[in-house]
Amino acid sequence: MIELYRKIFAAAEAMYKAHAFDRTPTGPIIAFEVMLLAFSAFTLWWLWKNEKKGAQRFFLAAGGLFIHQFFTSPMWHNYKLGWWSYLYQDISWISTFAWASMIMWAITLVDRFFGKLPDWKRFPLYLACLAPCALVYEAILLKLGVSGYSPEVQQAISGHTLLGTPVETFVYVPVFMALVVSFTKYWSFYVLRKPVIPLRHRPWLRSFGITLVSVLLFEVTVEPMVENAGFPAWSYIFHDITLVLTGAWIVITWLAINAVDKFLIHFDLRGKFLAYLGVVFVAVLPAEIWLIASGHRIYGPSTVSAFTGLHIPWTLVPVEVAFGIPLYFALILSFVKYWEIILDNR
Amino acid sequence: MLFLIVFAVAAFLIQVVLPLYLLIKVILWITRYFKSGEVPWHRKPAPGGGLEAAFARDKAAAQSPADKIAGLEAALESAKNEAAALAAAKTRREDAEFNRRMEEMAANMKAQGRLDRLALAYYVESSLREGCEAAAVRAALKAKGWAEADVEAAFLACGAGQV
Repeated sequence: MIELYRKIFAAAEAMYKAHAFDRTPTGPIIAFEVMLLAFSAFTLWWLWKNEKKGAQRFFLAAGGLFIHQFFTSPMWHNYKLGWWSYLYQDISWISTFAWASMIMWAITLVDRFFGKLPDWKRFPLYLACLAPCALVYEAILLKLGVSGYSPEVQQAISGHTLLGTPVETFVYVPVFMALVVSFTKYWSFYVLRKPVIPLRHRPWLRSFGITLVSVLLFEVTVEPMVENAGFPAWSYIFHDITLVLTGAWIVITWLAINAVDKFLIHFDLRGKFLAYLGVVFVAVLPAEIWLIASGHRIYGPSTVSAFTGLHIPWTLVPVEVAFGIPLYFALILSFVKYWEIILDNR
Repeated sequence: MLFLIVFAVAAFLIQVVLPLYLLIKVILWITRYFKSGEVPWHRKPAPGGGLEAAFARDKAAAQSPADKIAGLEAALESAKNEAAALAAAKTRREDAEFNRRMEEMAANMKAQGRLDRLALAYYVESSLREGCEAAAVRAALKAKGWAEADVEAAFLACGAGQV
């Protein structure tokens, strides 16, 4: 046991040294951080005072954001925010809270001003509020020299910019916001104890459609992180996104959701979510191990450099792959289930 | 290709058209607010809103001096606190009894293998607790394809029975 802790500590120290980056902030960066902290603190206080379980929902949004940032951290970097600002490698809790604040303001304001609209009509309004804020925020971070992109992302983007941000942000931001907002809203149902109607007949086709959209969009945004090689030429639909692999993830997710909803129909939202994740994890992990071992999945240099060096026992697969699977699917599952719930519970 | 076109159109609508629409809406609401002083968002009336509204009307119409109003306000406040304390105590007793009944019901249904009825019972319980009407809950469940017998069994299990 002591040996295991020594190994973990040594890996953490080696990783810290290997991923050392410039953490020294400038004056404008510190001023911007103070502003973000004040904004987040005000948001948290206002939500706690004025919204039912507002503080819990704020931390749900922060949790969803952290999951997304943790999974996609090899694609970008956040430097020069000061040693106090970092949670894990270059993921900053100040930035996470600022994003969470923007998300909660968008959700709260749309729910108040457009409360009579059904949930599925309010969802695009959340994204419409968040997209301009996200663009401005990203432009400020780029201008301050805090934010930047990995070499794989820089190769994948066109090079055209708007407000100083790559135009691909117009694709990335709505997809990433859609996933995080739906994660927040799904868990808000649990926190607020909203009744969710059980279904007698599962809408298999609708469920498949939503899962397909969710997985495809997420795959497009995280495509620079990994290369899918060795698949039939006809199966590649966008860069190296392959119908075979993406189709497999879609089918696994779809079957997991429908199987749990049918056989564990009495579980609450939390129990069902853990069951979905469990089923997906058990199905996907062996597939991922085989794909890496056979050379079909090649993680990019930026992704590999972020690994600790620890492996899944009896395999040469990095332990981050085992963590990445539930992180990836947590956002997709919450998106699919959120949409199913709001379409069924009108 | 079709998917990309649909996605591009959706992204344009969400990120350009909708924000402009929302901006125009916000400007219109702000101008309306400054003209009329009316708050634009819709909120449910707070509990006891009827009592408070009636008190506010009386206060506006009354010719009583300020100390009479202050006395009435104090009496209202203490009555509200007492009612809230009584309601909380009643709720705690009812919750404990209800939880015991639900646990028994859950154990019975699991033993019978009727997990679908258990799910229905949980849904009925949470809907009624949220303030939904029993008739509306029945209609919603039947609209989702649940048989009358299953719906009634769920209501019986929650102790709600027939309306």
